Amino acid sequence: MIKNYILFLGLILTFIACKKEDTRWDTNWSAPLVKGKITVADALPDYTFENSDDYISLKYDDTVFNFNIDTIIKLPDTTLNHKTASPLAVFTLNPGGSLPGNEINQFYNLGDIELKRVIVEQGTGIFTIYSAWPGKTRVRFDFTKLKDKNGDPFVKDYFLEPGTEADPFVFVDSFEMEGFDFDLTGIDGNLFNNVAASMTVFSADENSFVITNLDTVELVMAFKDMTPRYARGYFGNYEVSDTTTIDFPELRKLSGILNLDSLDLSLKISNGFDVLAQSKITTFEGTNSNTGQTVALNFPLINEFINLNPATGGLWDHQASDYHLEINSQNSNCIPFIENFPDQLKFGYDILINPFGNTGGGTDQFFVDAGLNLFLDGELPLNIKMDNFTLTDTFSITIESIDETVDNGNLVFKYTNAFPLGAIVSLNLLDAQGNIINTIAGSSNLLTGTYDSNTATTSPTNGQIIFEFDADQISNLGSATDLMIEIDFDTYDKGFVKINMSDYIDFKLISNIQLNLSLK
Amino acid sequence: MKTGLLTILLLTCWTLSFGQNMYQIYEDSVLNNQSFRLTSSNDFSTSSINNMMTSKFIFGGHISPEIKADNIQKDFNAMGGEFNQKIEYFNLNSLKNWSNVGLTFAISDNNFISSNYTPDLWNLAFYGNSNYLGDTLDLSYTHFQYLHFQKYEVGFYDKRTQSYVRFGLLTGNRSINYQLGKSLFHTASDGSSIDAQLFGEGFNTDSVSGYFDVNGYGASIEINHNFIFNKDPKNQQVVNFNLSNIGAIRWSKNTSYQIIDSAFNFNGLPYNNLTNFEDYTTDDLLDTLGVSVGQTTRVEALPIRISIQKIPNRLNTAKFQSILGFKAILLPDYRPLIYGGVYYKPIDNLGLSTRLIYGGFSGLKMGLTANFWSGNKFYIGVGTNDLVGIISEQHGYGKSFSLSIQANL
Repeated sequence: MIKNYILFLGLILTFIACKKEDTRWDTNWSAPLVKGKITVADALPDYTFENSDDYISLKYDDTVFNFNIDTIIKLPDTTLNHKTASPLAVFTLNPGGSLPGNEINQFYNLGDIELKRVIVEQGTGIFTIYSAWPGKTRVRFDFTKLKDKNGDPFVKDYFLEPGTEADPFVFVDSFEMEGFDFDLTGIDGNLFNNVAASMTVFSADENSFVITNLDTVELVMAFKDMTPRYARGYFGNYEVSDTTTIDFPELRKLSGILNLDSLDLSLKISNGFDVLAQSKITTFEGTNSNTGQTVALNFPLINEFINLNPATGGLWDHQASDYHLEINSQNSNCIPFIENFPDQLKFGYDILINPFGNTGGGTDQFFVDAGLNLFLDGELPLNIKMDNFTLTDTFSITIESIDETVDNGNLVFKYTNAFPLGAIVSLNLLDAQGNIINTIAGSSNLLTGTYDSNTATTSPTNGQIIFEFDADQISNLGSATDLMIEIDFDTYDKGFVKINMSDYIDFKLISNIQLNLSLK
Repeated sequence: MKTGLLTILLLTCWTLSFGQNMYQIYEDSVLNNQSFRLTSSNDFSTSSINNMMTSKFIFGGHISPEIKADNIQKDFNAMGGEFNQKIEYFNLNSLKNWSNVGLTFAISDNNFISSNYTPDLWNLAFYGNSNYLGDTLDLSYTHFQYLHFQKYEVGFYDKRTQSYVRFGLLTGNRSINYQLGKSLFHTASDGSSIDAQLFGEGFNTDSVSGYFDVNGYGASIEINHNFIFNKDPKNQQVVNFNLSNIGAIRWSKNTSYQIIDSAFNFNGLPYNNLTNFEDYTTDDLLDTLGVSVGQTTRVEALPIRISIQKIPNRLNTAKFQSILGFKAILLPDYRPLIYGGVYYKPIDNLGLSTRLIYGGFSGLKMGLTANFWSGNKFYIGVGTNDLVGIISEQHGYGKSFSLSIQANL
């Protein structure tokens, strides 16, 4: 019906409906596409700072390895039972009367770990109470060494209906345990892993009733999904060793020659636990996947155990104990290591917890936000030399039917370059197999700014690079699956230059295309 | 089936458009009690686009640089057309107390296109902006309008002068009407930035699925009067005055409107915003361009037509009669149209006329008409208002065809 309507838009539209082909005509359009002014700080905002010599240093500050002690201290789900009954064969309980309970220690099995105190980060407690008493009762559970999140002793009262031994009354209660503070030293304070509790049963009935020593009230305590916020005790003797590989795929885009003037690395091993530990870095290797070359970083104390002092302070004011290991061009091969552009780091470690046993008498402390961490701090001053240092990057492209709309054209890259770096830029169209279909070279190089080595400053240079697209290349755009950009950098005169915070490249990308417009 | 029939009908009209045009002939209708008249009037003309280029839009194909070069635009450029199909009925005996007055009914389907544009807009559309770097292109006051409606008319008819007045109920099908105010477009000499100042507004009615689907209702009046000079029928001169399309259509509340009030500069997308560009929606774009959109009812006046013509009189015994005329459509796209020519009656049942026409949507044109009577019972006339347009692709600036058939009972 829509077609019918169009046909009747008068004769003109009728004729249009009779068209055997599209109406087409060629037009030429110029339009800006992309613009920008880029400094190193813009491009790498989290990784740059101005060093004491007033030029840029790249910095790297991250955790290479993290060992969290909650892999050792686990609070497994557990169920504890406590049952009370009359000590007499027959006992009459009058209204308001009670059967006092005794305090007991309920053992919490934690394996080799001997905890004296635990503050719970999260978890759930479930009480299931079975009453076989023939009258209404109130039962009080008093955990004398357990405090709730408000710091109050944990006491619970439950009113129970009558039951029988064969068919006891059952009551279930659950509660969140965040912030619960367990003293696990037992009633007398000389134990570990023990929950102290007492239970008293009161008559809540209007009438007296008789119980026997077979009638019991039983509490089943279940603790589920508990994780510690704080733990104190003896954490046991452990050795953990492993080798991990860290990938930096972006660095695979780099190749060529980059010379560095200096490099400073600092390895910081931070022990956030109040526990004696030892650590050893067994492997630190970097591999360049493009060249297949692996360089092992050699530095003092590699493959040697380092004693890590316990953290200091308590629950609220703990302070990690840090061990600093300085690595620089004087005491290591860090510059060849970096100049290899490793995109894979292999890192091996060996960690001993309480290597000499329970020497602290069960005073190890665990803090929830603490860990045993290896930090790598690096500073790379951008006093560098590049010679055909190449950045190669590939983007997936999907350009359908562009040859039907674009006949030919060019892209103009206009720039003001205030970096002491020049470059040759080329674009390669790749097919699905990765073969180069076309190479679109720029009309000229990206000219370097003029570098004054005396002042270490760069004067800007203006220029433009034109990338011409002929009909074949436009046609190939349709079948290309990827666009590979190659940028070969050279520093000014291929010498060492310092990159300043104020260095920039200001650019604008302008398209000039012959567009084939069509009207269906 | 319906689609096919409609298509065939219109294609037939197109085929016949290579015939000739027709203008109104005055004749005595006193002897006729009832008359039926079928009229098909189809005119499309442009001021600056020749038929070779127009045919590319109609039949498709590549508009070569040579074709574009043959269509250099003027300071004022217009194009437009009227495609009206009409059935009329006249009955002289329906009002017994008024012996000279009869009733008349008419049903018509009307398509109307009207547009004007600046040469800069044309050049921008057909050449792009690369040839105009550093220039400021003036797009101001460009207008495009399309209107489709039906008229259902009833009126009174004076048999002595064949004058009538009709009152019409309108059913509106579709309207598209956009107009730019002062609007400029500038590209920097190196292509590094584009500045535009755009002011404009317009609306288009809700889309329809069928040709006669209704989107609005309205009313109209048409007044037609023949001034008769000289009572002797053999020497009578007749001047026809027609005022039509006095009325309006109220379109439904689903009519979409757009208003643009924007002055912007674009000098490239910031490189660090390219990833956000994928999330850019049409609404974001409209917001950036300062376009307001919405839906509301809309009342649109019909394009009022006025014509004054000295028309041939069939009763006049002269072999040759002069014909003169003036026509205006009260729109800025349409310039007053004047024409003058000669009517020749070689025999009593045949009339031939030719005229030169200037104005309207186009420039100078030549018209031809042939009229044939079979006694007083049947009449047919065919003609064109654009003879050159029919025979020449390069020098013609439009197409025109009219057909009129009348039966007197």
